[in-house]
Formats: sequence, C-alpha cells, structure tokens
Amino acid sequence: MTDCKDRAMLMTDFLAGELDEAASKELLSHIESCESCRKEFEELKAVWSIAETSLKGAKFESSLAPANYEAIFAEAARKEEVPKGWRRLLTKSYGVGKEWEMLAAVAVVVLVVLAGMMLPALNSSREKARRIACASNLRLVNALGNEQSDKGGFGAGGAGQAVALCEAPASQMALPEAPAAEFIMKEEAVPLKKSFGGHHALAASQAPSSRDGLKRAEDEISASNAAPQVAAAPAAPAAKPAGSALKLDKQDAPMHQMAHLDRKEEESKPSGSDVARKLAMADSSRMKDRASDETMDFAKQAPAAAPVPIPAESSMAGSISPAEAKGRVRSALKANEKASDASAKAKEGAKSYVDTDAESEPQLKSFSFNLNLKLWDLTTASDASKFLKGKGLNVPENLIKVDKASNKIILQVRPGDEERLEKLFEDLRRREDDLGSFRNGIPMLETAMKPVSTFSIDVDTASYTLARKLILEGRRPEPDTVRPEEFINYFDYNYKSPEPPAVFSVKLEAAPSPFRPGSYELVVGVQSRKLGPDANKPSSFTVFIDSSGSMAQRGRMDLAKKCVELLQGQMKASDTLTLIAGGPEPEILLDRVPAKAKTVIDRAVAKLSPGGSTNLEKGVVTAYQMALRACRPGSFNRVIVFTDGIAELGARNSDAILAQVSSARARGVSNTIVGLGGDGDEKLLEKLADDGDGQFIFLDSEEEAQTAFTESFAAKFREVARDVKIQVEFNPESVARYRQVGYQNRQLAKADFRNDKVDAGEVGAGQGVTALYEMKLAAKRDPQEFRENPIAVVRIRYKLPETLEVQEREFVLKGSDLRPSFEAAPDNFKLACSVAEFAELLRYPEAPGVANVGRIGDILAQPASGVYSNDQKAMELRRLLSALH
Amino acid sequence: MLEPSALTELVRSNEAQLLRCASRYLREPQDARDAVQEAFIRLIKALRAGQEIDSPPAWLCRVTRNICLDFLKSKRLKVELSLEAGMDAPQEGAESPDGEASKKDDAEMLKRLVEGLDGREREILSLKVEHGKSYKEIASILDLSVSNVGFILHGAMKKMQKAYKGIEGADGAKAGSL
Repeated sequence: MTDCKDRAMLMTDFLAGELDEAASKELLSHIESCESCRKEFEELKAVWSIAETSLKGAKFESSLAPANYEAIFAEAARKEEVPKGWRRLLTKSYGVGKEWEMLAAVAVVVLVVLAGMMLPALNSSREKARRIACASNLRLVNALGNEQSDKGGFGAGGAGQAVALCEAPASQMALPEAPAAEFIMKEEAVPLKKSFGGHHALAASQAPSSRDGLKRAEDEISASNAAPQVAAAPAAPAAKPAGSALKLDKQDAPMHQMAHLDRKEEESKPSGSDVARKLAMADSSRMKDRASDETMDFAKQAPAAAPVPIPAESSMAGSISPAEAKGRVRSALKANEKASDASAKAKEGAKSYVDTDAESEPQLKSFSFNLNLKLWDLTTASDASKFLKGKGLNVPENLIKVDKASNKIILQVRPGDEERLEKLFEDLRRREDDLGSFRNGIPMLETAMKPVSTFSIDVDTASYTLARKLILEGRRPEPDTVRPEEFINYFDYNYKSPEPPAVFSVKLEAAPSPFRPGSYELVVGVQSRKLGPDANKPSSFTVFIDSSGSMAQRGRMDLAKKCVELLQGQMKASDTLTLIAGGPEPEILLDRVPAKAKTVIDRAVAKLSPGGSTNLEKGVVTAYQMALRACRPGSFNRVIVFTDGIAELGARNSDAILAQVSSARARGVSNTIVGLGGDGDEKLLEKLADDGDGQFIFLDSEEEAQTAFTESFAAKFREVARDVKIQVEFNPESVARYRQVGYQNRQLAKADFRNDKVDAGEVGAGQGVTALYEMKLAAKRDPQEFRENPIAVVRIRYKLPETLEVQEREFVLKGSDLRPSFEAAPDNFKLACSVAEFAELLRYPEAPGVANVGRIGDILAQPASGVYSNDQKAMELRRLLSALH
Repeated sequence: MLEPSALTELVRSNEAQLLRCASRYLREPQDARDAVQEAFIRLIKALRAGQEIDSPPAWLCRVTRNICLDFLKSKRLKVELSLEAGMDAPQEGAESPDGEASKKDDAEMLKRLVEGLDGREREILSLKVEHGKSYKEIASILDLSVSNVGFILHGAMKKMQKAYKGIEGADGAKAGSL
C-alpha cells in the first residue's frame, strides 16, 4: 500500500507530467480524501507554479548573432560544395566516409591532367625557385640535392617530406606533402605548354571543395587563392609561378591521403594536431614498410626531393612564418643527412620510382573506428593485433593505435585488406548494437570474437536488499537499479575455505541450465580465507553518520546507532573509534577513542539526533581526513558512512569527493557505505564504495544490521585481498557463445587483468563471491566428446593488503567437469542459478527467454528443500517470488 | 546528412531554447551564443561522421551543457547554473508597469525558494519546469537514471516547499535546508 509519504513523490511526478493516467487518477482521488495530502499538494503546486512562471519568464536572447549562423552554415556547407549529382555518382552505395576516397580519386585525375600540362615549365621554374630561396638557408641542401631532385626526385619527394611532416607544426601539415601528385606528374609527363594561371585557378578552386574535411581549411583557402594571383601576375619572377605550382600540388596531395585517413571519423576530432599525428603516423609507417622492401630504400631517396618544395614554399611571400620555415628546413636537412650516401639510388630514372611507388610499394591505408574497445578487449595495440591475426588480418602492433579515452582505434592495412577490415569492424559494431537489444532474449557474446571475460570482484549486496524492500511494499525496483551480481552475492553458498596459506579457493561448477534448454550455467565460486594471524591486527574505524532530518524517518537514525553499538561490540579493546555527526558542518563527537571507553562512546552516540541539513560531501571528506589521521601502519583502517542518501551532495561535488576517496584508498583506508532507508542517491553511494574499494550495503532492519555487524563482520570489515580481478577465458573450441550475468559496472579489459595499476574490488575475510555465466556449447559436439578439453580457464589475481604483493592463481574447468543434468548439480549451484534468474527477471522484464516467477520458484524449491531448507535467505527469496506472483 | 533547409529549421527551432539553457550557465551573452554555435557545429559533424542521433534537440541540449561546463571549468569559474539569471535585466518590449512589478516579485520569490538547492537540483528543475523535458530526456542529458531524476526533482520540490512555507509563515524562519 502506498503511504502518504510516497504519495508526495507521486505528486512531483504528477506535476512533472510523468505520471500515467491511472496513477494520476488514484493520486487525485486520494488527495480529495486526505487532508494532509491535499495541503501538501497545494503547496507543491504553488511552488511549481512560482518556479514555472519565473523561470519561463526570464528573458534571454532568443536568436543567435549573424556571425554564429554564418559559422554554422559554413560548417554544414563544407560538405555541400561538390555538386550532389557528382557525389551520388561517385559514392554510389558507399557510406558517407567513402566519399572522401572517391573525391580524392577525382582530384588526383584532375591533377594528373594539370600536372601533365605544366610539367615542363614546372621543372625549369622549380630549379630557379630553389636557387633563389635556397641561397639564404639551404646551401648545404642545395649542394647535395640540386641535380638529383631534377632527375630522380619525384617519387622520393614524399620521404623527405614525410620527415618534414613529423616535425612541422600542425597548422602547416598540409603544405609540405606531395608524393602522390608528384609521381603522377612524372608519369604523365606530356610536353604540353600552357599558361599557368588558368589551371591554377581551376585546381585551386577544386582544392578547398575536396579538402573541406580538414579543419585548417581557412588557412589554405587563402593560400590557394593566393596561388593563381601570383601566377597571373605578369611581372612575377620565375620563381613565383613555380612556387604556386608546387603549392597547388601540395595542397591537393594531402587531401588525397587524408581522405582515407579521416574517412571513418571524419571531422569528429578535427584538430590540426590530430590530423598531424595521424599523418605522421601514416608516413612514418609507410617509411618503415618501404625500408623493408628491397627494391627501394625509401629513406635514402629522401634528400633528392626534399629541398625542392621547401625553398619553393619559402618563396611564397609571407605564407610561412620564419619559425615554421626553420622547422621545416631543419627537418629537410635531417632527411638529407640521413641519406647523403644514397644519391646514387636517387639518380635512377624517375619512371622506376613511379613503378615502385605504384606497384611494388603497397600504400598502407589508415582506418579509424569508434567502438567499445573494452568490450572487445582491444585496449592495447598488442591485443588488437592478436585479435586481428585471429581473424586472418596481419596488422603489426606498430600500425595500430588505440585511444581508450575516446574509444577509437586507428590502424593501417595493406590494400586488399581494407574490405575485410571494414567488414570486421562493421561486424563488431553491429554486434555491439545487438548486445543492447533484447528482442531475442538476453544477448550473448561469441567466443570467437571475445574469448576472455575480465571483471573486478564486487561484494556489494545493496541492490538486492533495496529490491527486496520495494517488492515487499508491493512495488518493483527500477530495472537499472538491479545489479544481478549483488543479488547473487547476497546469498551464502558455503564454499570450502582455502587451505592455508592460500588466500582464495575457487570452485567451478557447470551444468545444463534449467531455464533455457541448450544452455549451460557456469558458476565461479570464490571463497576467501578466514582471518588468520591478522585477526589481532589493530583497527581504526571512522564512522560518519548523516544526521539530516530525513534520518528521523522510519527509525533510520536508531538503526545507525544500533550499528555503532554492534560495531563497538566487535572491536578489540585497543581498536579506536572516531565518530562524526552530519550537519551543515560536520561535528566530531569522538576522536580516536579506544573501544574500551564504553561510556564515552555511549554518551557520544546518544547525542546523535536527526534534524536540519547534512552536507554529505563535507562529512565524507572530514571522515576521510580523520581516518587518515587515525591511520596506523599495519592496521585496518576503515571509514563507515551511514546515510539515507538524501543529503546535499550535488553532481558538481561528487568528483571531489570521489577523488578524496580514491586517494585515501591508496593510503590504506577503505570504506563501507551503509545505505539506510532506500530512497537516497543510490548510484552515488555505490560509486563511493566502488572507488574506495569498499562495500555498499543496504540495511532496512535490525536483523540485517545484526548480521552485518556480527556474523559477517570479518567479511565486511577485514580485508584479506585488494584489487581482486577475475578472468575467465573460454575455449572457442568448446564454447560457442557465452554471457556473464551482471557485473556490468565491473567489466575490465583483458589487458587490465595483469595491469596492477588498474583498480578493482576488495574482499574481506571469509567472504564468498560468486560470478555466473551462461554458455552455449559449440555446435554438434557431445560434451562427452571433449571431456579432456578445457571449457574455460579461470584466473584470479589480487594483492595482499599488507605487502601489496601480487598473486595469481589459475583453475581449469574441463569437459568432464560438466554435470550431465541440472539435477545432478549441488544445491548451492542451484540456488545461484535461481537467484541469477530472479535478478534478470527484474532487470530485463521484457526479454524473451527469461524464466517466469513460477518457473524460478520451482527450481528454487530444489535447494530450498535440500541443503537450504533452514536458510533464512533462501526462504525469504521464496517469499519474494510469491509476492511477485 | 543535413540539408540546408533542414539545418535552418533545426537552428530556428532550437536556438532559443539552447540560448536559454546556455545563458543560465554563462553570464556573457557572447559566450552563450558561442556555446550554442559550437553545439550546432558538433551536431553537424556528428551527423556527417555517421553518428545516429535519436533526438537532436536533446542531443543539442546535452552538448550545449557540456560545452558550458567545459568553458566554466577552463576558466576556473564556479560550475553552476543560475536559476535567477535573466530576471533582473530590464525587460524590453511593451510590458505594463504592473507586469514589471509582478515579475520582480516572482524573481524575489524564486530566489528565496531556490536558495537551498544544489547544482544538480537546479539543473533538473530548469530542464523540467522551464524546458519541459521528460525525465527520460533529463536522465540522458545529465547522465542519471530515470528514477533518480524524479527523486532529485522531488527533493528539490520538498526543499522549495519548505522554503515556501517559511516565507508564507509569519515567523519568517530562514528556510532552505533539507
């Protein structure tokens, strides 16, 4: 039955227009009949209307300035400059990204024609240009490179420039890059003399339209506009036309390359430096590739052409700042030094370079994809390379770049592989989408695509207790507050304790699923050791109790007090307790008081009274400060926060608080967040516990408190391992598909498992943790057939809290370990399966294939009439199931 | 892809709301305009990159907010939304003196009501009451769960209700806490 307090919340929903018709009717009719609710409603309505009138009444500008429109439409127009018919023709069925390549191709064709026309004149004027400009700063280069550059430098131009590229400032990236255009020029060397200006104008106008993907467009447009002007000036010295001609090539050439660089991400991140980085990468890798090719030593060709474009550009009045020019010259010189011994090679005919470049030198193509790297375990170049190898694509690690922050992978492949690569990533992305769709049941992962599942251990149970409260009240929890792992971990599976000195025992159990024919359930049961010699280690507890007004409700404060009392009972005489009460400013009631000072503690606890507001942020921060002060080496240090979550803790502050929590964690202070009540900011509390390697538990009764602070005290308050990670590697031969139940917020990438810097969950003494998977075995294979084959390898990795020593253990589940039937499985396995199904029923109410309440109840009856016949928690679960019925 | 006409339409139909939103974070109208401009540009880029955007208005709203927050952070300014903004400025147009006075009252009243609200409550209040966004949209804009949105909004309402009672009540007690 909904009581008046909950109705107040419905009133807000009603005013917000978020209440459906039936509920609105029910609410209104209740308001009619209930005096206090009517008053409440009137007030809320008044507040709402004041807020609405004044917020809506506030005057702001209602339209952008013309300059803003211009900027927006200019951005949109970048795409529209090529006539649509053209584009359609070119792109055909390709996606947006393909346009670039096609446009690039068109631009190259245009260039070929143009270049052919202007080549003879170009050569001579280039010579002059070089002489003029080199005089000042490139004597050395000139001496070396003059002749070669004329004879053989075309194909090699790219190399020198590639070096220049790596060093040149990002904003100038576009300028010194012309390999493609240049070699084509040579190939098509038709002695056709024509006036420069006209062609330049044509090419220059073409350039910006096809290059618009690049952010530096503005700079270039002005530069390219300058070209025809210069060329057209009749009195211009000979160097100038040359300069402009080169300029032209250089503008278009990078476009041709960048087009595919950027095709996938386009302008999603169009900063100059980004483009520069990619280009640099593309070029350096191409160089590597060439270096390995015997027919042509790319680096050695470098000097030949390097000097050419540089002086030519320097002659472009004012287009390059001195610093930039210097940078480029320096890099050109570098290229020269490297290769000064190789002029002989460069003297070979231009045609041969053309051939090499065009035929035996496969141009690597760069691709960039956005996808969930963690999901596919592609967070490192080495993992990605291995993954691709498994898919028949040979991409060495150095050609792969991953950016975890933006979930982007950039890789380069040889021609011929592009299509497969694209298909593969399209497939991954489609799978990613499929994972969000529950039309065909809860989605599973294909083992071939992702054989390894890695996660951080989670010992929270709050999600279950919260759901239980709601169900017993006749409601259902919001699906996104249901975390199946917390449901599963609420129950006791009585796994065997590890044999000392082991810290963990791991029990693997698999049997056919009782809910989905053809599926197997795999239960990974982890049990930590009971407290050994550590039992006598001193402890410092720092308790913060939220004392806001809402804590008065439903005995929340009393429950918190009860917990402190129980905690005190568990503490050894020498353990210390620090107690902080909430409020606008936190109040320190006890500071490192030994547990034996019972009367002092009792008096302080009695002082706690709810009322007013609590600044949870300040409270938690203070608690951590106190805890750090109380922190003794070789002791357990823990902050315990009691709150109903209804406190002032805005999103703006949560970062600060979380940072404090993590840094204290590094200094040995962990936490336990105790949620009381159940309408608080549960998401943040979970995050607090998560970041502090702690636990988030939810208490709604004295019995719960009793259990938490007595029976499972050691498990909850004494850690035996930190950063506990589990990795399950499925054998694709045996397992076709699988999925993990829950642990959504705890997923790690494969590479994180052995990266000891990656944080994970803490496990207390004598604690059991269970993870559950559903698997589909590989088709047409009888389990008997692969009895000896491993089904899955499970690894657990953790740090010992005292020494931070890292340990890793491995456990194997073989085909012969599979139970022939669900009935043959042990009771704790059956219980885990039932609980998991129950959680998923609440989490994915719409997904087909999830068992209904009745079926889960039937399955649960098996363990509940066996080992669990006296288990309170199992009995309670049966009650919940019948309440849902 | 976005056709020019569609873009015009998109800008027309969203600019006012986005400016409103941005102006509550950024004091300078010029900054607000730039933020909105940037949001549109990002939308165009996102669409061009093939990103699928279910609801451009909500997407724009979220992005505008992020741009504003980034801007404030980069300037090391307090990252907070002002519910009081836009009310003290002299009103243009044909407002009657009465209307003017009642606006002033409203402003004063609102100021006292929202005094105790924290940043997130302010944001949700603005998105819901001022912009009429659904819980779901708000959840996606602020990256919260849907139930949380309702919950926080209710918390804000309760705070305001308490403040309201304080103002209404003769004792005039200072209000605004939980």
